[in-house]
Amino acid sequence: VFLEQGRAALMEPVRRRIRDFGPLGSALLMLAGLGVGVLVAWLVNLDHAYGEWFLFHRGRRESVIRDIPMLFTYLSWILLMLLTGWFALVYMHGESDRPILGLLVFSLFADVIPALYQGSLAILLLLLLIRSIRHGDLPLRLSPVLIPIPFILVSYLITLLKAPALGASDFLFRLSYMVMLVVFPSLIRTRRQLRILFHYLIIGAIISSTVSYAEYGLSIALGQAVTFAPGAASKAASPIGVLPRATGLMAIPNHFSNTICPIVAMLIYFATRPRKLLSTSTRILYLAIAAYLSVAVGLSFSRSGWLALGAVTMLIPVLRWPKIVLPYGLFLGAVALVAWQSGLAKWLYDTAKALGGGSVDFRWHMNHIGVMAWLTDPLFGRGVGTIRAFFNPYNLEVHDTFLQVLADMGLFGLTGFLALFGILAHRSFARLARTRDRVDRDWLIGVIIGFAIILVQCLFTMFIWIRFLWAWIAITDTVVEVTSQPEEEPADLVFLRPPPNLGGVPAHGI
Amino acid sequence: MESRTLSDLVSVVYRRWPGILLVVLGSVGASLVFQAKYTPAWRASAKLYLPDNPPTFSFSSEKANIPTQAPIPTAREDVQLGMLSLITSGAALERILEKHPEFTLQELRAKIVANITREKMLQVTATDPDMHKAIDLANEVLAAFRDLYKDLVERGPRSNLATFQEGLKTAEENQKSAQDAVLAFLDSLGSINLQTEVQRLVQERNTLRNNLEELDSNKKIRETRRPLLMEIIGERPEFVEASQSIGRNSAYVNTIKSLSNLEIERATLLLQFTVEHPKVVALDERMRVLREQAAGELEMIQTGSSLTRDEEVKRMLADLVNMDIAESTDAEKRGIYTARLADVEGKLKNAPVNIAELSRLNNEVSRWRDLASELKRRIYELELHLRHGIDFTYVNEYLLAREKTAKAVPTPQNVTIFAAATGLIVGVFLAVILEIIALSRMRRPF
Repeated sequence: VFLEQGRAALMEPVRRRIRDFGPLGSALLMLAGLGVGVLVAWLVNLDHAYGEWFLFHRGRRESVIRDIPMLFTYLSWILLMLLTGWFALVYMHGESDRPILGLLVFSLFADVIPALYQGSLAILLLLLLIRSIRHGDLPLRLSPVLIPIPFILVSYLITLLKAPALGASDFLFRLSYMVMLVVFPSLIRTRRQLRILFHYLIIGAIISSTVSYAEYGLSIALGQAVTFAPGAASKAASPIGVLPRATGLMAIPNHFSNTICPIVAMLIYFATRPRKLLSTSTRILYLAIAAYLSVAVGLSFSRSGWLALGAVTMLIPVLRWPKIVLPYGLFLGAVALVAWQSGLAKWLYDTAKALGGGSVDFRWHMNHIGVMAWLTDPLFGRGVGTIRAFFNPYNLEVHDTFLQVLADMGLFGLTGFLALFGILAHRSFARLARTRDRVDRDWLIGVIIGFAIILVQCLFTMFIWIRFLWAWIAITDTVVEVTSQPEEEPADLVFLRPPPNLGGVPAHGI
Repeated sequence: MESRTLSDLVSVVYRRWPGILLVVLGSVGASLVFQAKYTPAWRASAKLYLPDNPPTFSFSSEKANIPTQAPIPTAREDVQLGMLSLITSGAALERILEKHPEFTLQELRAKIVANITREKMLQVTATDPDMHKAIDLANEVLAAFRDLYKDLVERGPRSNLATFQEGLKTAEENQKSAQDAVLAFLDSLGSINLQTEVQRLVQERNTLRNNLEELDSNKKIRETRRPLLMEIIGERPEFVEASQSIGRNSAYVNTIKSLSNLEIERATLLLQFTVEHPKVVALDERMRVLREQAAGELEMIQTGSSLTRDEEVKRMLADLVNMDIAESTDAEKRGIYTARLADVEGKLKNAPVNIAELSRLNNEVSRWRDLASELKRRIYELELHLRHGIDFTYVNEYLLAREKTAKAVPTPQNVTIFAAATGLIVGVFLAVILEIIALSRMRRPF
């Protein structure tokens, strides 16, 4: 009965007329407005008194612009403007699907904005709940990729038995990342939706990269690193002096490059499509964006990012034009030989190594700590996050995602993750082997290239609990599923419905 | 992947809720049995504060004794790494094994985890089924680390102290040898103070030279005066006779001889004493009496004549007497002065060499004495430091492991939460799997 009543209420036409609540109502509204004003003033006062102390207390003082009084007030004002813009976008679209999806995708590139992902996911789930009530049900696609998830969760929960505390907030946040494994394949069901998702990924990457350019400009102007990275991670010792390491909207330069590199690789791969499949203007646009993002990756001074992007990009010609493998291989071999013999390769290696100071030694030591921690309980590990208190002067996680899993969750947890990656790889390559459509193959190869980049970078970073990784798993799985579906738009779409000229139902309310 | 709906999933869970509940209850029940039979391990942590610099003291100033800024825990990674490896070193853990022989080194190592906290404090966590043992282990390992660390820190100063003590022995021995060499040298010179001796010799040489010059001068004066006096006296005949009778008076000759001897003795005494010396004064008195006596004896001879009335002649005669006395002692005086002068000059000739040698020997003594003095000062300072103890670390009762801060792992709540959550996850997973199997059997029945 409740569901029926709710559905009936939602199906009613939306009244947009401003209502007159009468003198009493107006007075109450005015009082409420006054109360909000007083509250805002009080918050501004608090920010003035304690804002800088809070920044200092959180250890972020070095990485943001110093000595800005009432920083949170400015940030709140910007947030208010953004929210207003977002609602304006919703109003312009006549529906909220795209802005919500855009916000969710943008949050993948913006770790430094607190709770943005959880907020956008909550809005999306609320929307889906309303849609499910309205439509009586909601399509749900459960992929085999989900099978290892219970193992991973149980492995994570074993921390309860190994450590005094679980870190419940971390666990719940990380649990929310896994929701994407259900949400993306269930919502993105057509090639059109996939394109929309990809475009949002590009926009998200561009925004984050633009922030990294702004960080660089500010850093040069102010003479100190103005990034979101803490302490030593915000600088690199280059041959021309100490340079800041751009982070975009991520907290660590390597994570920033991890999020941008897959998009760059996909753009380059798509830009090399045959002429029949891609217009010249789109090709130029893709290449221009790839160049723009690549420079941002360069500014991050993430050597693992450079390595992964360089190695995978060099593979693209082989994947795109298999006939040129031999001459291309010979050409690369000749270039490598010249670089080796001329000493250029060694110079590049030495320069890249020197960029991070003792970073290489530090990684070796962290990996050693990880192995030692794993050996204390090879089967179940020491518990998630406990390695920070295990002979660890750095207070950091192991900078190798696989070793991080091994140390935290042991062979049991690693089996879960390997099963997750294995099932995904199997599904992707199996689908690729069966797909003949060139565009579909591009989608599949594109996400596989992106995943390869991420996996290479995972060898050098603590990436397992970064939501972009989980998003990319979900996106890859979504691409596999979408490319297995016929071209026609299904009738039961509840999200990102086609416009009326494509036979879709006009947007109606929310 | 097959297209399903949210309702399908909810209905699976709804239809199979008894099974899911059974798995959850079974899991929770198993956890309760587990808790009843399994003794949780206790974890106790003790922390240590490690500033970059220890409190120091200085003899020269109090500035070093008073900190000028807040002591910040060490943030140097290499130091932190060293400290962590020291904790699990055999050197630290074997001390614990002496108190806890029930453990092997490997077991003990597995019980201890060290870490540097976010606040850059050193933390030792011990795990044991016995809470008190866990607390003791944590605190004992921390204490062992403190001792080891202190030993490590004090190793340099202790080594320096031993070296200084050895060096002091050598310095003192060498100083004594050098002093003995100086004494032997002075002894060979016959003086304990070479500088004064040389000064005295130079003074004596000057005196001798003056005396010789005076002898020459007196002789010339006498040679000039005697003929004049003789001539004057010769113009007075009675004086001539008188003088002749004087020359023949044996008493007068004896008196003159005695005066001559006394004059020599006086000259010899004056080489050692001044004219105020009692011996010289006594001698002068005797000489004065003898001179008067000689004059009397002469007068007695002269009383026979009329000469006694001429006082001027008497004075000139007295001068002649003195000249005779001087002439009679002149050769002997000159011989003594010349011999003495040769002796003094011989001694002074070797003086520069002796002074240089003595200076070298004295420098040697000073060098060893200064070294010994410096070593003594530093030994005293080091001993004071080591007695006070060079301790970088700080700990108090609140930083040590206590019953209040010891934690049981796993806690009963955590076990129950784990069991319930795992039961729920496994239950839902099994329900979905069973549903998939059921659907497959419906489509493809056996």
